[in-house]
Amino acid sequence: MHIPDGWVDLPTSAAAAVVAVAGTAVAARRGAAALRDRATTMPAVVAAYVLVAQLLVLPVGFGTSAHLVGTGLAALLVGPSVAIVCIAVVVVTQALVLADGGVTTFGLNLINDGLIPALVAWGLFVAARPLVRRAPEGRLRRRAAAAAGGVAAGVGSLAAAAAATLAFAVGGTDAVPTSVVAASIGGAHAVLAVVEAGLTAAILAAVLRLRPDLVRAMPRPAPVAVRAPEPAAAAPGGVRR
Amino acid sequence: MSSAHGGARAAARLLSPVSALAPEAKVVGLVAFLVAVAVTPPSRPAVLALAGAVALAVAAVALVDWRAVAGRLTLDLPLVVLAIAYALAGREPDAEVLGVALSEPGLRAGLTVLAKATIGIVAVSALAASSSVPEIVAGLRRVGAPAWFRRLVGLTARQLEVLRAEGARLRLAVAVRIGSPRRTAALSGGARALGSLFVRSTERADRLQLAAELRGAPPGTVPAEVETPAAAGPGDWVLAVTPAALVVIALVVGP
Repeated sequence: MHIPDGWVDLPTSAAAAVVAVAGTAVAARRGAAALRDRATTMPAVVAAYVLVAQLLVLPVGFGTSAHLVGTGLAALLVGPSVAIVCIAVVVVTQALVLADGGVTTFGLNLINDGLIPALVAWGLFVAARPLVRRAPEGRLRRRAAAAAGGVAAGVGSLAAAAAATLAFAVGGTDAVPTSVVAASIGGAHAVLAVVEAGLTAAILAAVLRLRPDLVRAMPRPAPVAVRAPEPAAAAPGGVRR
Repeated sequence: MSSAHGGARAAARLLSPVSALAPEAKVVGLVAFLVAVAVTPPSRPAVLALAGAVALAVAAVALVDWRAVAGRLTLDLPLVVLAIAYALAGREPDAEVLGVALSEPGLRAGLTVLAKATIGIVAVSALAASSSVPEIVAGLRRVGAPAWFRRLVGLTARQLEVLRAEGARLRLAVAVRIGSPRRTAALSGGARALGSLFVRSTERADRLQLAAELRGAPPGTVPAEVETPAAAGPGDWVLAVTPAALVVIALVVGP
C-alpha cells in the first residue's frame, strides 16, 4: 500500500522520513558490496520485478490500495539490506514517475514497504531455516523453504499494516476514528497477506527449482559430491502444467 | 535487443517547451510543487484549485498524452473509496449532501487527500511526458546522487523493458500451450510463470550486461549516462520552480 499525501500530518511524515533515510543508509552500507559490484544486475532485476509486481493492485479495503508488496520475496532473494535499497528505488520511482504514493509521505512508505516487511520476513525465515534444513534435500526441502518463505512474507505484510495503522494513530486526521481505519487496513491486509504468502511461496518454489543459486536466504551447503543436474533444471523457464 | 534500452520510447516522445528544460531543474521543480500541494491544509480549497489549474496548464504545455493520464487516474480509485469511507465513518457534525447525512470533517479530509493525489498524477505526467530515463539519470548525477544509486535507477528502468518483453514471450508461450489465457488458467499457471519470469529476466539482464561490456562500455556504465542533456541555467531553474512558487504565494496571501 502507498500512503498518499495528506493522510498523516507533517511532523509524523518528517519523523518517519528521518527514520527511513537512516535505515536505508545503514542498509546501503551493509549491502554495499552487492550494490557496488559492477558485474551483478540482481538488485536492479529485483527492483524492476517488485515495481511490476506492485502494479497488480487488489481492489480491497477502505481507502488503501492493497497490492502484492513483494518486499518479503525481495528480502529472501537478495537479503534484507539490498532489498531495502531496492524498495527505496521502487518507492521513489512510484512517487515521481507513477504518482503512486505521496512525496511528503516518502519516509512512511519506505518504512512500511521496505524496512519492516524486509526485516520481519528475513528474520522469520532465518528463524525457520534450521527446520527447513531437516527436510530431505531435493523437492521436499524446496517445498518446505517455499512454504516458510511464504509465511514469512505474509507476516511481514501484516507487520507493515500494523505499522501503517500506528502511523495513522499518531499523525492521522482526527476526522475519522482510528478504530475504523485500523479495522479497514487490518481487514484488507488479512486478505492481502494470504495472497502475498501464496504468491511468494509459488515464486520462491519456482526460483529454487530453476536457479537455487539466486536465493540468498537458502545458501547451499558445500556440495559433497558432483551430482547430475535435476531433470527440471534442463528446461529453464519452461511453463509446465 | 534495442527494446531493452528504451530507445523506441524516447524517439516517440514529443518535443515540447517543457522537454527543453534541464532534467535536474524539472525534478526539483516537481518535488517542490508536490510538497507545496501536500502542505496545503484541507481548509484552503481555493489554493488546491489553483494548484490543480497550474498542474493542468503545465501538463498541456508538456503535450502529455491525456489517455495516459486517464490510465494513471486509476490510482485514484482507492482514494475515492477512502473519501467515501471517511464521509460515512467520520465524526460529527454531519452535512446534508443529496439527502444523505455525511460527516463534514470526514468528507473534507477525504476529498483533500483525493484532490492532492489527482494533482500529483497530473503533475507527474507532465514530467514523464517531457523527460526520458537517460535525462533523469543525468539529472540525478547533477544533484549529487551517489553513483550506485544512479546505476540502480538506470538499470532498473532498463530491466522494466526486459521484464515487459520476457513477460510478453511467456504469455505467448502459455497461450500456445493451453489455448486462450483465461483467468483461471492464468492464475494456476501464473504464479509459476512469475517465478520463471524472474529467472529468465535475471539471465537476460546478465547477458545484456556482458554484451555492453564486450562492446567496450566501461564496466557498470548505465547506457542512460551516455546521452547528456545541457546543464540547468538560471532560466531553467526559474521556470521549473514557478508552479511551486505560485502555490506558495497563494498559500501565504490567498484566501
